[in-house]
Amino acid sequence: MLPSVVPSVKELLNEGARKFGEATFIKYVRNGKVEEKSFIQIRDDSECVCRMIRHTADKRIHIAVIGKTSYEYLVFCSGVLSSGNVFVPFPPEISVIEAADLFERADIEMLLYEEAFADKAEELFKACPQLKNICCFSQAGEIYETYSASSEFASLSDVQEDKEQCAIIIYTSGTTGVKKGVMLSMNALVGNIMYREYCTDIFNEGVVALSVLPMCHTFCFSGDYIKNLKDGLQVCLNGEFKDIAENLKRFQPKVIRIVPMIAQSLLGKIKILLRRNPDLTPREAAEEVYGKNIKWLISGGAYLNPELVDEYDKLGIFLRQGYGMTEVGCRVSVPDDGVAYESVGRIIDICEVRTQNGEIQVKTPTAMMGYYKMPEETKEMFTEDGWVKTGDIGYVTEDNQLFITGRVKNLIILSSGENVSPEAIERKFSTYDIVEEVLVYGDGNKIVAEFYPNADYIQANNIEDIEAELEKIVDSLNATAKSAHLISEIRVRDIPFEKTGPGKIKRYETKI
Amino acid sequence: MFERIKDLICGFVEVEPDEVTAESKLTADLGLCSLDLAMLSSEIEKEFGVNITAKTFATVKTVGGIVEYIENEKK
Repeated sequence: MLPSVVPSVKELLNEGARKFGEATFIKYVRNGKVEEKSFIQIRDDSECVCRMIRHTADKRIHIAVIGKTSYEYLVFCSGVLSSGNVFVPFPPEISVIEAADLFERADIEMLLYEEAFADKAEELFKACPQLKNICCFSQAGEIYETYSASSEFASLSDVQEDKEQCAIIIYTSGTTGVKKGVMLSMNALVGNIMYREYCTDIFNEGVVALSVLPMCHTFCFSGDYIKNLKDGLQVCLNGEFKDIAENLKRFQPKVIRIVPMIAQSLLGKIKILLRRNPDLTPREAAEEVYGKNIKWLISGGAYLNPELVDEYDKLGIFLRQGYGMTEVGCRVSVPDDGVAYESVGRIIDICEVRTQNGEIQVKTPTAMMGYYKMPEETKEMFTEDGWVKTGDIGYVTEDNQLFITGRVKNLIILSSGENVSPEAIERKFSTYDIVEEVLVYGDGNKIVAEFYPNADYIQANNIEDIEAELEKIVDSLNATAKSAHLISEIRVRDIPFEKTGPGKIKRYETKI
Repeated sequence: MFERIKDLICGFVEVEPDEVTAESKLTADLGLCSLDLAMLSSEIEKEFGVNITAKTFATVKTVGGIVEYIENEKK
């Protein structure tokens, strides 16, 4: 259950300064040297930015913040969130054309940006008539001086906060490709981290976390920043993706939020180490790569192969996943070491989950207020009785574990009325080396599996009849499948499938 | 330099050194993912003192291409 009063980001910063004081909160490498900022320092610096904003803007406005993860990025985000204005993060790689479009749709009047974005910021300033002020993170030093607690502007950081008002708009790519601005109140943004934890050994004072994912994403901002601020962790910023190997050794984290690709890639390094150094134990090899303290990898954002979870368990590392979406405030389920490898975690106590025709639906006080200026899309996202429609297919076990098996929009509905998730069938082929790519879909009244075989495997194993080989695999899977899930036709293609932007296979329209 | 690049690559993906040729494609043949490429760029920067980013691998697609890129950068 949510506490009766949910703190704001400003209150969390004050509480962090009071409870953890001069202890290090943020750590990062700059010009080859490690720099540290305490809980008090980030609170004080954020207040200076808050005062600057309130001095510059004469009313409540929407403020875009653009930058890679850095101490200044966090200070400027916190400054906006403490000022009673609306924080709108965008990724640093955004183009001027896309930013200009989104700035207009989001009514952005102020832009705070990192130095690398300076040229684009100047262009946007000229191109967007509603954009009245821009300010670079490089002016931070000047801002801290001018707007300090002893300056004439000191009282500007006294803000009457309305936690039910929109505090943040986060643009997410919708299924139609049109980006939608998810509006969250302060109560939703912070409320989502106020759940009762299942694993009591992760989020404790002084525990070292390495932050490797972009902070402009909800999963990272909510977890690596807001939650770690509340719990008093030490957050080490990885900076450039390429520095991860060095920073793992340098900072020796206990916990890291990741996407599955990171776990997969670093496991490859561990396996190579073990092969080259047969005397090493698996744990010793893992510590060579991840540092000696590593215990938790929290995965999100994409499907996590249970075999990978199993391999990490053998290294003494809990690789577990959570599940959520920005529309519910971030989390729906979180990692727990006792859950099944295929589970996406245990549902948190501030969310209720039900399934309607197989679709996972969520009810929570931290749900979004709606999509900004998109009433139709907002209406489509909620059921009539107020549950958020996730668009994911899955189920919940008696002990509150959540399992996701596919997407509603990909669902094959057979003439018998049975629903079949193609992703669940496709995953079964992931362990067969002959299968490079597979797509399962409905055609007429049957389920078809279309394969793009792995040419190297076929050559290396002198396979002449590819279709017969694939048929053997399909027969073995059909032998244990539910009758509605039987694959009745195989198709083999000689070119890879067409992909969508992020490398996912573009699905056919289901013809059933 | 080719041998050293080969060694670095073999530190990221499980391939036999003999399988790595100048024509080997980094992603399609050797299976390097975007994080592997990012970490490889860091190792190359440290070892050869040239600027190389993960984006460089959008145009430099083979092991031989990396060697050529480094040689050009060092000129």
